Amino acid sequence: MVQQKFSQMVELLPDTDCEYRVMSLQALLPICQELKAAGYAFLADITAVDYLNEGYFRLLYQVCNYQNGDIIVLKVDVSRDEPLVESVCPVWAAANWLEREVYDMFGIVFKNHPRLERILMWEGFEGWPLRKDFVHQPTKYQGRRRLD
Amino acid sequence: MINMTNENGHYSEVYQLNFGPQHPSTHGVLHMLVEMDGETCVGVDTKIGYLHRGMEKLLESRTYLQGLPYTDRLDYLAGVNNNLPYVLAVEKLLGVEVPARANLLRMLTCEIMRLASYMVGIGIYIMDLGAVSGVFYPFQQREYALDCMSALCGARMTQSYIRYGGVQADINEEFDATMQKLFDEVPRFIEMYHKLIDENEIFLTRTKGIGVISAEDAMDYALTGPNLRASGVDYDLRRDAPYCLYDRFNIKVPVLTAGDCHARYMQRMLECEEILQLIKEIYAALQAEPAGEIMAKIPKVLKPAAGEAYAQTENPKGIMGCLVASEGKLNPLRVHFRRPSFDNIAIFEKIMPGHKVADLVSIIASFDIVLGEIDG
Amino acid sequence: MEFINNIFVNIAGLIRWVFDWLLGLLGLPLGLTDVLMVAVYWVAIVIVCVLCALFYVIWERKLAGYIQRRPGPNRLGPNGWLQTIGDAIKLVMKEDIVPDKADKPVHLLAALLAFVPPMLALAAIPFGEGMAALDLQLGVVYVIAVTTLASLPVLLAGYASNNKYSLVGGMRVVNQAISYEVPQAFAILSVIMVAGTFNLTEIVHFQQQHLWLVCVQPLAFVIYIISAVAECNRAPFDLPEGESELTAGVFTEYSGMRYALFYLAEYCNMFVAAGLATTLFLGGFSGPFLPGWLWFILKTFVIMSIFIWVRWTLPRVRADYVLRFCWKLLVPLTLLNMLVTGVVLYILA
Repeated sequence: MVQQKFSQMVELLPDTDCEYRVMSLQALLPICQELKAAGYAFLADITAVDYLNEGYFRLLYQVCNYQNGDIIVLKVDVSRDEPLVESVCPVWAAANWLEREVYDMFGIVFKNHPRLERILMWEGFEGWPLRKDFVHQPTKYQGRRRLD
Repeated sequence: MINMTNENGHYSEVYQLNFGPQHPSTHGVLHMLVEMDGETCVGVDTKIGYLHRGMEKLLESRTYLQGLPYTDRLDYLAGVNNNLPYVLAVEKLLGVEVPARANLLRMLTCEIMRLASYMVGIGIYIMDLGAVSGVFYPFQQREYALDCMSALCGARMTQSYIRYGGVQADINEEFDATMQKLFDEVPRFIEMYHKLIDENEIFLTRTKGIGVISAEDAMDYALTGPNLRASGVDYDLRRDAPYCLYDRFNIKVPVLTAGDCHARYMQRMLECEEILQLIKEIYAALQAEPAGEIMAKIPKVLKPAAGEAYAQTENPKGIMGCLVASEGKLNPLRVHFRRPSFDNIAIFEKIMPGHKVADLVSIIASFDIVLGEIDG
Repeated sequence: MEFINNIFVNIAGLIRWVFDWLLGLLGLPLGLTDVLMVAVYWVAIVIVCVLCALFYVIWERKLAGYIQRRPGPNRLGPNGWLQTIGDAIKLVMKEDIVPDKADKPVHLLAALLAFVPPMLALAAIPFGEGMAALDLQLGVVYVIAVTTLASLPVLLAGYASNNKYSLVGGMRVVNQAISYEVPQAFAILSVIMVAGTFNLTEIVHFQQQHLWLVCVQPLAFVIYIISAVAECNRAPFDLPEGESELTAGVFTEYSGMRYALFYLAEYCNMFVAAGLATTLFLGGFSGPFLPGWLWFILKTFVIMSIFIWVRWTLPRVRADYVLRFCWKLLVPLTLLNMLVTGVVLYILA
């Protein structure tokens, strides 16, 4: 279905029956809307993998169908230099927290996300912990502070 | 009727109440910044991450064998169930075929721990409604389930029983005895608990019509597990996208439609019966299975082929997913878990406004969350 | 038998005689004896209060254990019966933590005041024949008035703690106390209509001559027990400290000795409520064979056990249901009960 509709923008990965590579970032949102309309109402997961040597993040969207249990995996590569992707929150509400988690861990910015804030790390944390070039800086003990 | 609301539509000055992270009924360290109008909640901001242990980062720096026991600590009430998606994903990369006997043992232990996890969920829910005695009865029955696991692999809660290519140990005589105890005791418990709780007037007023989630919202917010099925969506991975050998069994999935706290409680109670039935079937199948290997032939040093593999399983809390990306090295490039509780609680911000503060407790507890899983 | 029955009265008489003798020896006016006897009664009431609280705390934990199929405390002393004393010592030795922004004098005062209402109320309750420290003609009115005060220290605690949970809890206390005062008073009123007196000792005498009032007023008895549970802020009406929603409610910011005072006061309040129920409905100190004060203790023990049983069985009611239950069900029922009582009394007369 995806293949037919968006033959220009996706390609079926070899040796799989449900994993698609999305060729362009612009195509992501329309494909998602199309999937939702086709009954893929369950966005199971959004996550990213950092391919440091190749120079891109790979975003993975796992989309499922409640009727027949089908799963479709969308993979899209985002440049490490300008990590900017269209948010899929308008399509699935569940994307909200999942995208926040990806932002928190990888620093990938989702355009039009209603509230793109850190979710697991604290607000003042610096850096993107799951990037491969993240260097852990041991924080100094700040001492007991009095809240006034 | 005189309009007593002020210009913002509230009855009194709105104040912020920090519900957690240290609070008896947030099941750990869930933090909700609640905006209150008197005793009514008008806005919720769920803050998580107080128990964030960097599980995914930890697994990146360990070899596959070293990493496996960490997964038990996600949903620590059902350790085996968390092993399964990780192991399945790695096995996909390794291209290993698991012996049938090992698959049956995997399913058997997963169902036993699912039962144990539901017992905790049910008991804690009753306790959070104020009936503290309610927690002790399921915990006693849960002990029979944990005894089974203890007899099987020597660990009670974080077992790491499921290994790459198979399972750790085969069944023994002690396990048979504990299973018999489980079959005897749990039906009695379920019957008794129905009698104790179901018709209680206070319980009904506290749960009926509280935290209602429509089927559309449940699907939109990607709720999974009993919380989804209580809203009328008939979706269970064990039946709809079977893994292991679940396709061999006839899995009956109860579905309720009300979508409120009462439905979520009843959903777990009804599923307990089905799980027990399924355990019996799997156990019978296991005994009919000829004795044989419980481990596939896998190399001593695991170096899965490069690629990405994703596996999903139906956990007690919902659908657990695991992504493993490998570069063909000793440790994974990236491991990601779809933690069901994490996705389940995102809907709090939508359903909680308009409820009293006592109902917030009822809603949180009815979701049966585990903070180890939410924060990862 | 007669001696055992009157043992406490005789002891009081002995003390009074000793005071008379001492005052005579020192050449002071004999009127001082009454003043000194007040002090003696006061000490006696404090001892009763503390003993009750200590006993019922451990009894509650034991009974809760039986209900929950676990042994309960069983280490300290014979079968764990000294556990409360150990806990009390621990609480006294703990650091006294007061929040920075709390209203400190009120914070302390609230804990101290908590003990006052139950002690005042116990003074008027007849533990046996002639064993009421204050045998008031309007004893019932006095006890109702004084027990109402019990919510005041809790409100003070909620206000003084400077904590939102405490404040919400404190407001709930007042809500609940004011509401349940009404059915409680009405339930007692229907007893008084039958007995024809406000004097607690005379109500007991009436029951001695006729029959226990619980047989005449079963509905009033049930409503009284329910309201008493709510008045004492016990589960299922323990909203002020509903631990699953308000952490510890009004007591969130209390620790150590101050918390212990509230904790003990709660049991004293329960004891007062149970004592009043015994006196009004269960024939007070009247009963065959055993001495009167022992009958009183046994009957209160039964009622206390009912309180405990209810607490460990039922879930907590939501705040708005608590009030709805009171105003829409209990109050009309008590009014109806009073009406029926009045009509029947009129016909019989």
